Amino acid sequence: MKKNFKIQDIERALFQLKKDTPEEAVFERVWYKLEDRINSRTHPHHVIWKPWGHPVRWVALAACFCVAVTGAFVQQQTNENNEVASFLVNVSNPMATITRDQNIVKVSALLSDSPSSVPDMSDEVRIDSLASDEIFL
Amino acid sequence: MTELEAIDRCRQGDIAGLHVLYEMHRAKVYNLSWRMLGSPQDAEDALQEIFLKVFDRIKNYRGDSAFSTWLYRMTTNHCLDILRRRKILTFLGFENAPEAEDKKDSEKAVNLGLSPVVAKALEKLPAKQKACLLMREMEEMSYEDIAAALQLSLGSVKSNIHRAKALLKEILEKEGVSQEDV
Repeated sequence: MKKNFKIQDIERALFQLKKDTPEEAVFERVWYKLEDRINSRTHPHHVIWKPWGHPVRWVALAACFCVAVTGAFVQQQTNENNEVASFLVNVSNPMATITRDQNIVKVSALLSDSPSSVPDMSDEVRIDSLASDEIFL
Repeated sequence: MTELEAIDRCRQGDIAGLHVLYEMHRAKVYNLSWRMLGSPQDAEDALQEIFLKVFDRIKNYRGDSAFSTWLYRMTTNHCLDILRRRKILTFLGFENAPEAEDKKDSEKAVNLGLSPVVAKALEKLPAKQKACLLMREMEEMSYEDIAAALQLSLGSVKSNIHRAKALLKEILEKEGVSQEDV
């Protein structure tokens, strides 16, 4: 059953709370504890990071963790994709990689050149050179 | 030593300055923490933590508002943090739900010096509404000071107080409390 209630009664009850003050000993005990804690600190203004102190920090921490994990995963995937791509290029078109490399001998070019452009390597020339050696000797 | 001198000395790391500030404001901080948190043990811990914070953060106090307003802001923020943490712990099952603590509530009420029903009703109010109501009715603070302490707009403070009173009245009426019980 509902009963009528006046707001003033609540205000009066709340105002009564002010009159309840604890004993002096309570305040003294708290002060001694406080003093001890301050004196026992080696660095009075040190900063302690407590991410668990507030839910927002929890969220921030979780977000950082997610970004780090996702970043590592994406990086790994990219590396794998690059490796697979280069392997496939090698397999499908090996000449492309060979011609790209400047230091490698172009076998195909040597094979396709006309015989006239190839220096003459006949036995006579070799004999001549041997003969010249003989002269010097 | 005046309050300003005490603040200056406290800024320089002098514990005597903090002691003066403690003597001046301890009762109000203790009372507000007690009513917000619901037990004298929690209020003692809060008093200690709050004045430790004052000592560490006094350099951040620029003097734009009264020291008591800054201190009240710190007190309410500390109490709201504790209540929020309690709520999380209750949600996670590390603490018992308040509904299951009827006996504890009545013990708290005796500690509070109130009839159990009013204390129980006060416990059911949302934290911010409770803070606004206690500051206004118990500490007789002005709306402006409450707004500054809780970093709320004036309108929000007024509506919070109004809602808190209405909710308190509704809870008491639902439980069939007579005016004499209060």
